[in-house]
Amino acid sequence: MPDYNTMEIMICVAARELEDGATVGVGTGAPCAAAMLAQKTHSPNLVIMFEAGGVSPLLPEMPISVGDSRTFYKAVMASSMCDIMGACSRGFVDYTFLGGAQIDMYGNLNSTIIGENHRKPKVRFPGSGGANDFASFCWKTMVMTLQDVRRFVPKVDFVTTPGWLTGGDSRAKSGLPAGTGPYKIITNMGIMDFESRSKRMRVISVNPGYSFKHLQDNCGFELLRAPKIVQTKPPTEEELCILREEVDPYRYVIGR
Amino acid sequence: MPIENKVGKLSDITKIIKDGDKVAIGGSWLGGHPMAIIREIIRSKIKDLTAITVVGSIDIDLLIGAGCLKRLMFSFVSMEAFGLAPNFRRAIEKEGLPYDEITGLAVIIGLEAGGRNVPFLPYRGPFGSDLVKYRPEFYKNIKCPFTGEELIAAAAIVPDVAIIHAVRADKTGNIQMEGTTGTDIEMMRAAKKRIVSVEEVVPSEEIWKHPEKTKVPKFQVDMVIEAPLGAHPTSCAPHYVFDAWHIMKYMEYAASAETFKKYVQDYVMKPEWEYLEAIGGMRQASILRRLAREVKFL
Repeated sequence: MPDYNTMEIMICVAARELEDGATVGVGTGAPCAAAMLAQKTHSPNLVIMFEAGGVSPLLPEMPISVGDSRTFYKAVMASSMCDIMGACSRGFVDYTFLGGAQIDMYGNLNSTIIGENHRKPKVRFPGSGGANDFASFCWKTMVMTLQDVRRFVPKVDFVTTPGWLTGGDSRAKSGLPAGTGPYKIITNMGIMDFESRSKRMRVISVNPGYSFKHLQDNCGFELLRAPKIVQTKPPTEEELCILREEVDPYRYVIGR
Repeated sequence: MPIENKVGKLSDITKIIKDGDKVAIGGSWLGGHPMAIIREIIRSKIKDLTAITVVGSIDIDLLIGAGCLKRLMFSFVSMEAFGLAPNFRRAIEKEGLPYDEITGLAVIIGLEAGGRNVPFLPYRGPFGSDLVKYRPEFYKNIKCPFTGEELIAAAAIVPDVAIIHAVRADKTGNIQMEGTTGTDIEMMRAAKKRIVSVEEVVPSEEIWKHPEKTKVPKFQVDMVIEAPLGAHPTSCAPHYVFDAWHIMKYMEYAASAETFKKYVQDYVMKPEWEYLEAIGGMRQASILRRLAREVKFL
């Protein structure tokens, strides 16, 4: 079995979720690496979209900024943020990847503040940007993050981006489009989805070297277990080779 | 009648931008911010501005650090791979700079409402987010008069001035862009006055050759300023990439309020051509242009 690091397995796992012909809205960093890996392996027709307006680029190398001209290299369109958001609103975007400082058991995300006082928080993060809009309107939202009790919390300090809200049918009832919502959470220790009725986070797969207990010990709320928890397929030689040599040769992301 | 001429100098921005104005700033992430105009705002000591940005980076961080803002409306401010925006964080965490955080699409829809001359536009979000709760003056729940559906109304955003950077313009103010446009066009439509810095001012014949590249027509432009490398240290796609070396240097200076003052002295409080010398002059410019070409033709 080839050697790989935490970032590499997360990127490979995420890439496998993106089927050929799908559309995915990404930012820079690990999600972009995952989309590029998918494009160079099983999904040559993957349509990658960047929030600043790049549509379907064939990325030559990792863009460092969403405003980077690489985001529309060999693209079919250099559009605008208004166009990209319009595509999301209309249901044309299948997947998106988001991050955040905190996530709760329903996949609600905080990328706004740490602390009680919204006016003068303890820590001020960058903010929603398009994250809220992407997660509101794309069909399936995925999160790539490290498994850690400070991130997986019982209650987020601020709901920047809605997940399944308070579970059950609360998301659809709130007015968000039915059928959209958090789909998978990909961490260094395993993969989680959301149980279909309660919409609570549920472990479906554990990465090699980890058990359900590892995930639970590094999570601030009770995780559900899928009826059958499988082991995550480790990165293959081919995936690692393309990831290291073509997607991220300068190790911007996989070297973190 | 003589041909109209909207070309001004950087120092002419004070004819349009006044203390206390609401200023929409174009560009997004580390791309296409009107940085020469931003520096000129600081040099001119214009103050008490409300900045409106969708995705800000060094533009917003610089204005905050230099003390030009009294309020900030934004959806995102970050230095991306280079870290969190240092002055933005300090101002909010330590000094309580008043701010309005709304989502990216909400800023766009607010600007679209401004650009269509209506007080609001409805959309399907951001339901379930605390952002709605904290910003009742911007978001209101409404019922569709046709279908009865629950929607959210985003209030119109009408900036006093919009400032953007573009590739070229003629002297009458037809603005051409050649890359992704972020939210620049929506800002230009919504604002009461508009200033555009461009890499070059060209004869109108050049504009006529490629009318499809004109993204803002002259009747929506009040002043054109020729500012080569005017987006530096952010990029001007597809002509030059952002200057990662300078941004790293900026992050070092901005690490404390004390050292940031030195950045303002060393790089901002001098004529624009001296700024371009300070960042490495023609040599650095040619590196940034070459990197952009390599991406383009790779």
